[in-house]
Amino acid sequence: MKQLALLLFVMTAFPLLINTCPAIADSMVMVDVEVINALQNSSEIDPELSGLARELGPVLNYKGFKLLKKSRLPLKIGGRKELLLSRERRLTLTLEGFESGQARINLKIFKNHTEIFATTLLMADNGSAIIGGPELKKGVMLLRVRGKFDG
Amino acid sequence: MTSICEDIAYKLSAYLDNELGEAEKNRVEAHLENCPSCRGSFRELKKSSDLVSARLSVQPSVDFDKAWQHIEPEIRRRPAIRRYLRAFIVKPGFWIPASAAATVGAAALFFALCLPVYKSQRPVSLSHVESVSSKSGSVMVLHTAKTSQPIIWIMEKSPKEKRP
Repeated sequence: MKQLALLLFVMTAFPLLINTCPAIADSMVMVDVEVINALQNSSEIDPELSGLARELGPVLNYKGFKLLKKSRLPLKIGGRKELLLSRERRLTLTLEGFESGQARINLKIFKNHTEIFATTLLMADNGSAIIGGPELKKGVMLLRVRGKFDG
Repeated sequence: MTSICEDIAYKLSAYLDNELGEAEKNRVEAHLENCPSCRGSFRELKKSSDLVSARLSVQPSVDFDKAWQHIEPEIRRRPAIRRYLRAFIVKPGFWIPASAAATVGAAALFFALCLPVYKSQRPVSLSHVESVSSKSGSVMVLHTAKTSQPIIWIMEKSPKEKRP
């Protein structure tokens, strides 16, 4: 009977363990933030932004896209990361948790220590969102935020 | 053959192996000197003995000790495993729970193998904007045409002054 119990345990516990592993691992999101300068009077596109340029072309009136900064921020639940966007602007990201297979990420932009923008994104695994508008150099600043669930 | 010859014939083998006492040995030797028949028997016996000795002096090509080291554990182990399995399988009421366990195991294996595949084949759900707030109060939420990525457009000036 002991052998049978052991057999049953191994046969059920092993697959259960395999299935629960992703759930355990989904406590972290690797967030990639790209700071981009979008320009109307230039058609120069950084090679790694060609896909983004094709996506945004029909929606926004910008032709030139220049990658200024790229950062990878590992976010744990409740964890907060900060990124300097320009001399006066900074971005904070907080992973609030997971909900229906999406990561709830709170994103804030501060200008000279004053919060000017806040949003809460429900980010899918490998999903992304674009935030744009603030003036930067001769164009505007675009932020492409991409999240990959770790595990 | 005399009764002495018969007695000596019994002792020839012991004499050959040098197992007789001194007196017996002298008696056998004295008889062999005088009796051609017993001398002939002794010669035959010695010839056979020499032949056997010559065969035995050849060293065996197999290392029996080493071979036995491999064989012995096998002999000891096999019947034990067989005994254990037989006792396990023929136990009364073994097959019903075993069948149930196999069914549960097969189901668990099915889910373990198929669920990850199902998960990976699931279409990627889209990201959504849950809430937005801006100090200027002017924010637009758009979506890209192809992949429906959300675009949040912050208007630092009033919408009339600047549009994306």
